Amino acid sequence: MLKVNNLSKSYQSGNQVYPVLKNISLEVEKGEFVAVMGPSGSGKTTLLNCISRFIPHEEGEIFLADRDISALNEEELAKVRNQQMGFVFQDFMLLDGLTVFENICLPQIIARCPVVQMEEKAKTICRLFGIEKIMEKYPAEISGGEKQRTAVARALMNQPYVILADEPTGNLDSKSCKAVIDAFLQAKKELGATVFMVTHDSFAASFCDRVIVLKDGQVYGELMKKGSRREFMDMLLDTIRILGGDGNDNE
Amino acid sequence: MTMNKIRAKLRKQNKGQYRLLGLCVFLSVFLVSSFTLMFFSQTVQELLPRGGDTRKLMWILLGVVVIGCLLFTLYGGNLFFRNKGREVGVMLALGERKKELAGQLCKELAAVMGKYVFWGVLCALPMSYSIWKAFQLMIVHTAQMEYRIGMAGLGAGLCFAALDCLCILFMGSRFIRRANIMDILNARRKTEMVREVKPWCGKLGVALVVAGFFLAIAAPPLMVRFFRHGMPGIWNGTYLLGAAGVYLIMLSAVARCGRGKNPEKYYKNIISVSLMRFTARQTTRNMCVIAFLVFVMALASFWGVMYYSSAMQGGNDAPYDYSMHYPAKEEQIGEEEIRRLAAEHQVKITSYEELETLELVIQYIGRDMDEDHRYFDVEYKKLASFISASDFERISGCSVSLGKGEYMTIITSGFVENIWVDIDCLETVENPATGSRIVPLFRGSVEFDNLTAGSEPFAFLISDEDYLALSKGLPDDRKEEHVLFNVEDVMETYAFADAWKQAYIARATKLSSHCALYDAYEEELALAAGKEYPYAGEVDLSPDNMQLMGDWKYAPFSKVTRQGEVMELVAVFVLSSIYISVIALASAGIMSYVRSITIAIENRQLFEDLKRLGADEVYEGRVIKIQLRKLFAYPIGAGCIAAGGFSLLLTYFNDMRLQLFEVKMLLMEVVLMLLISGIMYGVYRIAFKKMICLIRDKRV
Ligand SMILES: Nc1ncnc2c1ncn2[C@@H]1O[C@H](COP(=O)(O)OP(=O)(O)OP(=O)(O)O)[C@@H](O)[C@H]1O
Ligand SMILES: [Mg+2]
Repeated sequence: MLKVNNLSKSYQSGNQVYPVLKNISLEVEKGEFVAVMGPSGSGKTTLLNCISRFIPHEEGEIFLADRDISALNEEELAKVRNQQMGFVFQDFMLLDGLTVFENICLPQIIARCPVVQMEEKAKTICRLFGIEKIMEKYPAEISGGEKQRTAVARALMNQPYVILADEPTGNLDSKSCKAVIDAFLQAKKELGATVFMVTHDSFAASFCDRVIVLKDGQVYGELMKKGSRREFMDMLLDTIRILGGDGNDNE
Repeated sequence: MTMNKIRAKLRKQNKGQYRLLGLCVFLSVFLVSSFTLMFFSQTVQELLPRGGDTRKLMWILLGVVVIGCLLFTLYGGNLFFRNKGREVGVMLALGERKKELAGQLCKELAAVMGKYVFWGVLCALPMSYSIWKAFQLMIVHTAQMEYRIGMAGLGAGLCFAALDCLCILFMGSRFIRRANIMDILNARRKTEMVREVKPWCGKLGVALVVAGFFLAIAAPPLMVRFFRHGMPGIWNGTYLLGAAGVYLIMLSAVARCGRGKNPEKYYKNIISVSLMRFTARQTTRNMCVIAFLVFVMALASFWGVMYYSSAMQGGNDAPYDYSMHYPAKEEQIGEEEIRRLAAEHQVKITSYEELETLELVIQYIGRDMDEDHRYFDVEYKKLASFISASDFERISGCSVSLGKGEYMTIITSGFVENIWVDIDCLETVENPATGSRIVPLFRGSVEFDNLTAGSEPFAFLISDEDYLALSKGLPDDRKEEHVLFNVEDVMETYAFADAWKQAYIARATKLSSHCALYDAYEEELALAAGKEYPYAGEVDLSPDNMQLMGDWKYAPFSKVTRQGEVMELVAVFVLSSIYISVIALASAGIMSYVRSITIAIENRQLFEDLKRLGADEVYEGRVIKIQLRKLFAYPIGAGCIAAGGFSLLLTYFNDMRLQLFEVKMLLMEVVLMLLISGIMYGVYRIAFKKMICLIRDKRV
């Protein structure tokens, strides 16, 4: 579903060039829930932003459903973002002036979908994520976990090929964190969604099918989920300890 | 639910932002069009002499008004788009196309601006009318000064409105074009640290300001005085030194902070200082603009007051209330007719004098400037008026002792020596008919305003002996008659003055219908050399020629009309100055306010964090206060000091001395500055309250 080939990216600061991503290749299957972990500064956010084409990269290709999106223009990108990608940001990025329901509808409103179907769909999704009670509330009136579940619901609205999430649980306590992860799992199960998530949090990552570990801008390794979630999490914590990362985020 | 509904909802939620933008548009359109309505009205246009300095100044003022107004609209626009950033970012991330966003934004902006432009222009009409009323109150008489709305003024106002809207639309399109999801995602973390500011930065700034002002204001007159060399226009670039200095001072004020000598103070203020440091460049630029506006404001009001009082002075120093001079062959109104007119108007004439002057050919050295701004001597040969010593004694009541071959120069009161001509310039005097000439000796000068008009560069006094000798054989068309008289309560005699003037004009024939700069001898020379004489044309002596008094060689003088005329000119200028300062004040106020609000919005998170760290409301208030105080006090201080220094240098170096009235004016300026500071203090209070609201509201 999502395939990255030899992606390289560097930042320029003054006349110095800092390579951040070095020749990264990875692949995410349809219906897979994949996390990216790694020490701070290893380039996780940068990777995600390159994939979503929020920032330009120097080399490499990005395939979304077998279509190279690394050379699309703004117009085509807008369409891809609207139809084929869904985003979940760390600080939610909901519009304060719109209700939860309206926020969720936004991707279809932008795509100018027929209203009746849209509202039906939004309601279904709200029910799915257990947020139908707060549909008419405004973002300022709901909790962090609810906000993020709203954001996940919004990301799913157009049934994208892949959901890209950068530390979706970063601002949340562990209970809300679980609720958001459940939302992802639900999306995967019920809607067959593909999720690509950057996280620090071994607890969150332990729910994934697979974890890609980044170090210094390179793929350090991949961990497949075997056995129980508990065991997987211990495995992740060990890996992080070895990497010398700040394994501060556990339960 | 459709996009339109969503937009309407977002608009409703962000009403305040739309209103602020609208307010900026409204204010700028309102201020500019009321100015243009006044300036382009037929009456004012007829009043201002074509090609005159006042007209030029007015154009400059108009430019300043336009720029000031554009500036604060741009400011409002900036804030508006900044607030809009998040919405646009989210839309982009959800896959909305930029073109679509741009179109929508354009529609919204057009709706907002259309509405406020309409109101702005509408309100400008009564405003310009009231300006006009104020203007009529200030001047002595109001004849021929009906208020007329000019289509030109309205058109100019609308043109400005269009320009204003275009600017905002342009900003909008640039905003959309540049909108970048990353920037919006990172908005919270985005900072613009200045690199470390060196400790000498502020001192260098002060030095630059002083040097810049000195070079720009003091150097040119000194150069002219000592080297006879003018400065090219580009020399004004030295003002930029001063501007750079102000920037450095602001920068060091904003961003410089070290533990230094007073670590206690450093830690006490650390939050407010660091708050500013993260947006130092923006803030500094901002403060510079505000300082500039304060400068403009102080200067404009200063000049307004200065012009007003000098206009009140206009013509007051003339020894005679009424005077006229005309070619001796002209059959002008005589004493009998003047007395009859006076009696008709219940005006009592207290003294009445007549005298005759000789128009003799003089040779003198004056100065001119070449293209390289170097002054060079020129020898002129032209006519000038000569008065006999005994005549002068009779009309002035002072005694002069002039021997044979001596002369005195008659100057206007308060005459300031200048580069173009010296008061002892006279070389020879010649009777053009007989060719008899003398080479007279300079014996000083006397002030007598009534005799200086119509004789360039001066009129002169010579002894009775010389007068008699030189008048021999001089034809009558080289003689002029002067009539001078005083009345009781001169300032109450406007009606008489007008009737007298009209009677005088009615009698004037081709003999005296010459332009102000006309010189019969120069014309003769030019014609003999086969050249065209530039001042040959006739002036239009019809009673409704508003420019006549300025253009006519034989214009009559009366204190009461002179004051009216000067005031007419000056009042326009004074009002414009006041206007400019109001506009500058409005801009400065809005900009400071917007800046404060921006700081509050951008640092909400920080205040939240502070609270979590245990800061109470008192601490919070103090942080804001220190911040705001800097934001307000530094630019106002810098602007006022700059304006004060500027006007002090200017008033001193225009004639190398400070006269008493100039000192008074400078004191006046200080009062004005205090007033400005007071108003800005009010803005500060409002901004402070709003900031507190913004920061605390979020938390409830
Ligand atoms: N805009 C930028 N300009 C220059 N360098 C940057 C920029 N953004 C990130 N970097 C650098 O790129 C590297 C990778 O940053 P990135 O944000 O991708 O790390 P990360 O893995 O997401 O870290 P964290 O886990 O702390 O979020 C870092 O060393 C960072 O300093
Ligand atoms: Mg990151």
